[in-house]
Amino acid sequence: MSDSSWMFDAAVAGEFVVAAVWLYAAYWAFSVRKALAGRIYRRHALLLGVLGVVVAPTAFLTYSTNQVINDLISVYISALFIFVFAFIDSTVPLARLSDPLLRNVLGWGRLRVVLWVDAAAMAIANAVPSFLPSNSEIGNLLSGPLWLVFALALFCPSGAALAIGARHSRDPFFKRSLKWIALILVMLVAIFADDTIISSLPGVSQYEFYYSYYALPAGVLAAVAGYFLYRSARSLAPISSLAQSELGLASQSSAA
Amino acid sequence: MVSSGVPALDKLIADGYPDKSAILVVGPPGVGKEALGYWFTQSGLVQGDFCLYVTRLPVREVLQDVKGFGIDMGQKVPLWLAGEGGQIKFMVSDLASLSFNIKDVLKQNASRRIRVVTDVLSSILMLNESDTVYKFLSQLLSEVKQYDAVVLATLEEGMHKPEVLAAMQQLFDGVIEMKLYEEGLSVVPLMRIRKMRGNPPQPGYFDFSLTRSGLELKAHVR
Repeated sequence: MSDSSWMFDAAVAGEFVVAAVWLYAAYWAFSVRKALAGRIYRRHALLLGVLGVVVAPTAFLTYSTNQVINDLISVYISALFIFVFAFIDSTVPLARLSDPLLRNVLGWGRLRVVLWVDAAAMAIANAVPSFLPSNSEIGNLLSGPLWLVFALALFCPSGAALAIGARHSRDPFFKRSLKWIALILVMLVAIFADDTIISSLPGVSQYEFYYSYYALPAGVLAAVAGYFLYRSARSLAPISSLAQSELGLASQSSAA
Repeated sequence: MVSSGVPALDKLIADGYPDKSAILVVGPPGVGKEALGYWFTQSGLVQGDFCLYVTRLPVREVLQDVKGFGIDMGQKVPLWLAGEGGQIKFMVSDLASLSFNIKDVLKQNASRRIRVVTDVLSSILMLNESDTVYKFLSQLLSEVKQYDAVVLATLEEGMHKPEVLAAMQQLFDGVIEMKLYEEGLSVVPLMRIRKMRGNPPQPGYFDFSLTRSGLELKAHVR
């Protein structure tokens, strides 16, 4: 196992790089939002930006031996789930708006109310066990099967609504933006798979998990996912560059 | 001239849109094209013009959007030809009924000055052959111009082929272009008047911002 100090430094530097990429992506999402005027589009760009801001600190998240910190991490992760649903909730109306037939996917107007209740229940199920004695029956039920039921009930219909909405949409920019989001999800799955494989390796300590070459694949995947968020933010609307010739004309006109 | 409802824009295009004209506002989704339609409608209602608003959206969603821009239409409301909640039902796939309804409304209000605002052009183009839409629109606009009417239509940029966009722009007397431009590390919304009947060509861009108090324009300087 490599636990040399340079590897530790590289892992920590990697955490900063990952956070910086996500924050840069968030910056672009906020820039696009500032330039837009449509209510639904602005909300979507805002949530994309907040996604970057919310995910960036997770680059530094490591489970510690301090119970309070672990509890806070649990609360934070609960908030992330809520946030992911809020993002879907802002995206489905946008898909509808760019559908020429203005189809209301799966009765989203009503369905979303039920799903918000489910999202709240899921967040509670995720956070409460941290405040219960370890191995309590209720805690195990909440963080195990019940949480899974809430999560499936939330993300199956909302994911389906998003996929159907995206199919109905005729806005190529919105679709491109969503494709980048889908690639972020692919990266997240890859990160989870990577974590699972490394955790199951014999003799890998918590320290090595976060601060050795084992951490590198996840770090690279997280940075790539941040880059995809940046591409998604930039794809929200067609952003052109002013040609030199147009600039010349513009300054002549301004002078006049 | 017919006031656009935006003093800064009126100043730019010599006191407003030309009489008996059709104006096209082109821009990416979410940039704020509809706001020009809202101000145009509000200004018409204040001046006592007859206003027809043709939208694919439910009326309540349009009103919510109008409110978001800080626009108060007051007690007076336009006649709604809308997907839901309007006096007349709009169906995006039925061009014949759309044409009939608009002409019928114009005929009934022939003695007044008329303002027609619509956001349905992109949807119609997506669901029909562009040649069919071109013919339909060309016929409709020429009939509308027989009345004392000004039409303002919005068209989504990026959803149609460039040649379709160019063909649509030819049908209109005025084209206002709204775009998002990248400048350094920021995104800037810019507007320009591509053409306006009775006005010399204006190639210059203007920074614009849509606030609750209206539209602000200033010449773009890099």
